[in-house]
Amino acid sequence: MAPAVPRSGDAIFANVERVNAELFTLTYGAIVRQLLTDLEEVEEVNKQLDQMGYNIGIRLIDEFLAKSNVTRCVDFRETAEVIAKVGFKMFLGVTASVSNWDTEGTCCSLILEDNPLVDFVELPDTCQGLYYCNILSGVVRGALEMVSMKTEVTWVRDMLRGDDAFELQVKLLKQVPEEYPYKDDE
Amino acid sequence: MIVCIAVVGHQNNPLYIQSFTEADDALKLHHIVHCSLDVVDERVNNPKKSGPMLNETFLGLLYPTENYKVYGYLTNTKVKFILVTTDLDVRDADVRNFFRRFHSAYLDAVSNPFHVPGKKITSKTFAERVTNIVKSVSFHTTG
Amino acid sequence: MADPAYFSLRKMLLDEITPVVMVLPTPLVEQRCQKNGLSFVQMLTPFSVFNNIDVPVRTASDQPYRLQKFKLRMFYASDIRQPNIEVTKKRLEQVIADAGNNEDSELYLDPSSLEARSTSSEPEFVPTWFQHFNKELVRSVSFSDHEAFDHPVACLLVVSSNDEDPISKFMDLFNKNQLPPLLNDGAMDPKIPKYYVLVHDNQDGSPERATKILAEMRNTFGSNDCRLLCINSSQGQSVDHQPNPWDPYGSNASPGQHLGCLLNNEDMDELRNFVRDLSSKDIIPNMEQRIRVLNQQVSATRKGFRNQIKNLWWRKGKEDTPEVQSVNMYTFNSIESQIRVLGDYAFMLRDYELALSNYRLLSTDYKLDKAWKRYAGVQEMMGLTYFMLNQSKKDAEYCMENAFTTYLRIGTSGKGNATRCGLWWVEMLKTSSQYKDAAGVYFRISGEEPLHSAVMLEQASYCYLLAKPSMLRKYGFHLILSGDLYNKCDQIKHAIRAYRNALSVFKGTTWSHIHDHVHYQIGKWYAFLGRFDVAMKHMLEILACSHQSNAMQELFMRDFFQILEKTGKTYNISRLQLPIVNISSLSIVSEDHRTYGSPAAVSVKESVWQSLEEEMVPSLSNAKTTWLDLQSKLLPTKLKQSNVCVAGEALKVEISFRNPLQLSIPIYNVTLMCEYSENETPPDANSSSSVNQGVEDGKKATGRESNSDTSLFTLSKVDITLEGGETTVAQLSVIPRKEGLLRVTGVSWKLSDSMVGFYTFDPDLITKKLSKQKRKAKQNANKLEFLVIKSLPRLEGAINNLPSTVYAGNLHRLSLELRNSSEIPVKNLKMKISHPRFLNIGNPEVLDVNFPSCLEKKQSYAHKDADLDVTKQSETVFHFPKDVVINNGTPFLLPLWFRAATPGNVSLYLTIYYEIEDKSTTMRYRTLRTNHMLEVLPSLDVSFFINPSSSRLQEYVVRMDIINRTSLRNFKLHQLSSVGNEWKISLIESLNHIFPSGILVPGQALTCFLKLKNVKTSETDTETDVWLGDVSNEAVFDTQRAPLVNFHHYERLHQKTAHQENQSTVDFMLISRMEESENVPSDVPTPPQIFSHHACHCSVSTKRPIWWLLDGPRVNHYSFSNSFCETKLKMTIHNSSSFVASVRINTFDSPPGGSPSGNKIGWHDMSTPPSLDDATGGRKLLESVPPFIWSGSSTTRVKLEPNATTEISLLVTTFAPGTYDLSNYTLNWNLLDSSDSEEKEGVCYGRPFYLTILGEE
Repeated sequence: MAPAVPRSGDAIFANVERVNAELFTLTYGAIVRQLLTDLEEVEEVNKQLDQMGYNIGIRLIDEFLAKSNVTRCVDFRETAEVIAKVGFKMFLGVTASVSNWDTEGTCCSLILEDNPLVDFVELPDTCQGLYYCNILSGVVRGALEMVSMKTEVTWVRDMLRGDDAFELQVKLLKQVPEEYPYKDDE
Repeated sequence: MIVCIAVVGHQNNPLYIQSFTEADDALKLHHIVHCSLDVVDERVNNPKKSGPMLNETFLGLLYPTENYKVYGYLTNTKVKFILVTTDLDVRDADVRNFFRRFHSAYLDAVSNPFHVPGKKITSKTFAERVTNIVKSVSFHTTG
Repeated sequence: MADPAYFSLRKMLLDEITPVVMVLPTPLVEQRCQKNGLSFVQMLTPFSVFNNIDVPVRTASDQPYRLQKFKLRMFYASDIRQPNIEVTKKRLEQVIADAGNNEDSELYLDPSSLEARSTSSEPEFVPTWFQHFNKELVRSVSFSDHEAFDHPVACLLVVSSNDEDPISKFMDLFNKNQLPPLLNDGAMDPKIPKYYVLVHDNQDGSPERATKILAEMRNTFGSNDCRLLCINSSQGQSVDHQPNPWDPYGSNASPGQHLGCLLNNEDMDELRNFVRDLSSKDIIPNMEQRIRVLNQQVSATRKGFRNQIKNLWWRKGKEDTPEVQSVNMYTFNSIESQIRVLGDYAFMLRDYELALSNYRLLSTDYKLDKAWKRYAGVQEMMGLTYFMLNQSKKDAEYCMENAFTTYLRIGTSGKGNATRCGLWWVEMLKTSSQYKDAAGVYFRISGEEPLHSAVMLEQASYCYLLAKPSMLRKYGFHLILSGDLYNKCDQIKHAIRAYRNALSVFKGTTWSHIHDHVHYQIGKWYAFLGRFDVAMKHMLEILACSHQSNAMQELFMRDFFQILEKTGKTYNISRLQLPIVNISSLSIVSEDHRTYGSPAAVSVKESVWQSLEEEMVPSLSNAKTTWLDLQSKLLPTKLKQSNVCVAGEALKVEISFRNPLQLSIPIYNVTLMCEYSENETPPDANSSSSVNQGVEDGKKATGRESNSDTSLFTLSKVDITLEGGETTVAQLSVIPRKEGLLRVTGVSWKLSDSMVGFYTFDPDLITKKLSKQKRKAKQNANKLEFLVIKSLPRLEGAINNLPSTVYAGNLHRLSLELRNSSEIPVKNLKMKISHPRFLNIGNPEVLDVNFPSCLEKKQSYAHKDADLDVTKQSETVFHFPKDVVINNGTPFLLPLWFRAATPGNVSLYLTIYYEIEDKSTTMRYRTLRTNHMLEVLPSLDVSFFINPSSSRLQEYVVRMDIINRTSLRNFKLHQLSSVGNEWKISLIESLNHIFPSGILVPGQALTCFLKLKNVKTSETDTETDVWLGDVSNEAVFDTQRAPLVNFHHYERLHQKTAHQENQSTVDFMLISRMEESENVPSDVPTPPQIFSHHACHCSVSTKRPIWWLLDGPRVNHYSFSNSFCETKLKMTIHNSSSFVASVRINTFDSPPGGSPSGNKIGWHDMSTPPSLDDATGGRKLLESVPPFIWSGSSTTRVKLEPNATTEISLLVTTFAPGTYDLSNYTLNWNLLDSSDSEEKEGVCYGRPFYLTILGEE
């Protein structure tokens, strides 16, 4: 593995240009609310958020790789570490911790102690069952997919539902082998 | 002791009224708060009273009822906070401080994307926070 | 000055603070006057008010001025004393009560709007009786000794001409014992000017006697103090005065007899002149005189610097004198009293400067003396004087406040005065329109005495309203307060008035607590007054009190229903708030050509059905247009778009009610409101669009209900009980009876027998809602209008005894039952099943054969079923036989095979298409859609692994793993079959070694090996089945027959995977049966639960594509005498891969080192290569083990086509007897043009093959 992999995103976070946290939070809140009014079904909203996240993720990954000179991860464990320490810090300003590895090392949990998305947020009774931060799972999924890891990302714990932290379970479904060398005409 | 704290919208519609007494005097407190709005309007409409401190949000003592004191606080979006207390001599600084903390709590509450502006504040966390603030604040007058 | 309010106070003062005349009449005088229903004083009162008396007066400083307005207050001596507290209180209450009753009338019409009030000037809405009440309050403290303007300035002694010895009468009229305390206790000068009046009643005869008496009066009392007054001059006939001057005063007059009936105009003139002379000639000059005198005294003693000092010093001296004596220290001749009198007289004669100066003087004295009451009184007068002078408003108010507070400070004795002072002060503030301050004063006046404070608070509230800017909330608040106080004093009507006015403040605000409270109170009070209808108006307002506490809600509800039942009327309330109708939840299901078997089927997405039906229905779209075109022929075009429903078929409506309260409320007779119109033109829109007008809409509603039970349409009624906060969906239905146009206009329910709530649907509103939700079966604008068409046949179908939960693989025989309730038969039916894996159509005769024995193998059926299956599998739509026509009554049965294919929750969709026979109907065809949910539990898991057997070509060893995944059911294996004819399977070892019980208990796994042989020949009697069950009965099922073969077909389709076409595969079908669970009693014959599990496309290909067999003699007898021995061997190579393979066979003469088959027999000699032995071939070598060599080419290369087999002959040469292991060869194979990398090439090491050579002698 490359020694040059940054173990934390602080450096990058320090010199990415930022937007006001409240503005960011409120914007996201507005989006979710709008989705709720448009789609009416909480489940639909969860799907939509995940889809949006996916679309973000598949774009975000390039910026991530460009800005943080992360080299190729040897295994999924390392990938998870990088996401948690560098990725989250870089884009969300918080670092997650990785835990709950299963034996095969294909399934782990990213645990967010605090989450800027949910400042001020309190779920009303009408939309329990909403995964407010479902966009994050989508982002992770999309990003990993672009580096040829099919994953399944699900929420295990959610502070908005009274849990003590946000726990995002990332499960590696399969690793698509990248064929080298690519043919020129493709 | 603080008897009641209320948030009143810019159309003078009650957004949040919380009384901290065991007694069932919700109605009376509603009346007091509602009544105090007149004074708020008065204060706002002829600002010569609050001449020196322009755009000052703290309105000070609105009016003393027989056994309460009513304080007011007006945000720049014309949302009013009304405080009803039984402590008869209170230092303005304390009240001011209280309102400042209450204001920040209010801000977070209305930042909740699920809160509809101009509608009643139903947030539980807000209620808890307010209760804590009220508990923490005590208008003990130092002479 | 032009301000009316200014005059109002001035007027008030001008007739409150005026000279008092004490009257002492003889009884006879009174008796004479009473003929007119008047007392003597009353008789004079009207004439004692002068507007332009025009008397010349001079001020103390000889300024002449003329007095225009003037008034005398006449009182009997007996009345000149402090009025009794109790009496006044009674009187005040009386005033209030009367006021309440007077405004009874306007109490029930709505209060004028707030805007009107705040703009309008005071008198229009402030109750007029306030003036009266205030006056009474002021009067209640008159004749106090600390102020002089109530002290009589003169005294009238009145004697009748009929009194005998009138002179002596005059004498003893004025004796101490009946004089008012003011004169007796020295508060005022007892010797006041007296005037002697002789009253002559003309009915007693001619006035000679009177004149005589007057003469002698004159010379006893002095000429100019005596008067003669003649009354009752009218002879006989009674005079009716229009307008009657006494009306405003004659309080105690008995009705009927009109006042002053005996006084003709001469008398009235005489009376008028009498009083005028009295005041102008005597009283005013007297007062003026008095003022002069007093003024001189005062200025003598008090004016000037010296006097000031002296006075000051003197009072200092009095400091130490005890306080008590200061109560009556001011007798009439004390200088202070004189100053006071001077001031008051001056005030009454409008010499305000003089009055003011004296008051000023006096107030300092009293202040120094701490004679607070008097001080207050003087301050009060100062205030008033300032006001009359209309200068320095500030001073005036200061004085009033000063007086007010002082009065209050001295406690109860000062209370009344405080009130009076306050009232004057308020008036003063009003004149300068400082209403807010006025309100404040009112508030301070309101003492602990509830009734007073009620009135005061109400007046205060009006002041708040009049204040600029008007303070509405305080207005409301004070009204509420006063209302409560009124209520406390049982002045209900006043309470209502106050509350109702307050209502205008809270109306439309979201201060629901207050709002509810006000309405609730008003409602209760009206009910208390027996005005239940009005009460209901207010009680209705508080129904949806969801924000209230539980107790409050109960209270509200209880009183609401009490009042409701007392009213005894039935109410129809539009948009009744209890319960709340959730309009967005409205869903209407009408069945046009689509009919649904179950409500569940309705909720399925339309697209699912369409995808099912598109093959059966000619074309869904143009099919629809066909009957829409039909409509368009017989309908106005505007209705082309309206929904269609069929007469006699229910129109189902679902709508949800929410209970806002925490209590549970039952609602009865929840039913739809519908409009029916015979002709197809739609009913006028306004009827359904007018929503808010409660009452008349209510009438409409009842009207609809009445015609609802006619033959036009029938409505369903349901009763619901809503728990607290719960939302319930009510299923309602309307069944139209005739063709025409039906419109659902709303829903109505009964909260109680006399409270009917209803909700009128607003069409465009609903379209919005419906379009927002993904509603099906509604394409057009007006969701609420339905075109009722002639009744049609409607098939009802059900699958009999379809289990709700089954185990996977379970096989059932079911029957689909179709009924047609109408007369018209339906024909050429088609059916489509969403999951053919699960459901399969059997042919009719299956119904009567018995299951499952019908599945057993019989030769006869085989072919017939086979070709029937082929047709089934070809297409997915099942056509009923052409001759099937379903008539009324006779149900049609169709056998269905059911097999639970996969575990999980499955919903099977089944739609049946049918056509109606008679062409006249607007619809030609309809479809019946049913869906069935079922849960499939896992039962057995079966998996197969196939390896080629090493011993024979084209033979395979099959490992079958079975595990029982159920929790508590036993399985008994039945048979394993390979589907098709080309595979022959057989058990390797008999089951009852490894599997003696033959029963698979839950969780148990079983593995058994079978032999699989490929037989290219397709004769039917290859034994493709292996019996796994107990040996006793071998009822082998035929896998070639329906339904097994059909299901297997679909399984094949389902399990098909992409890249397995050209490989040779085998399909297995495991048939087992489930043991009946223990709890089922055995004697009831339950049909055996047959299971079939299918494993398809089990490929026989192995990892290694090359598969070979070395064959040849194992034992060879040979005599080595002549030469060495050669043995021919044959190697068969098979290429089981799907690619062309090239194989190279290498043989080594020495046994290869790393060969996997290197189970070395010890006697091998590795060291010596055979060639060397060969060279030295001596005798001695015979002991040693002779080696062997592969003769012939040491490497051969062959090319093999896919699935091709070839034979290569090999030759091995041995030199001595012995046993040789011929495993020292390898097969290097590689597949040409195969893509995947690791499968490309490989090496196979030889398998052990032992050749034994026996020598012969």
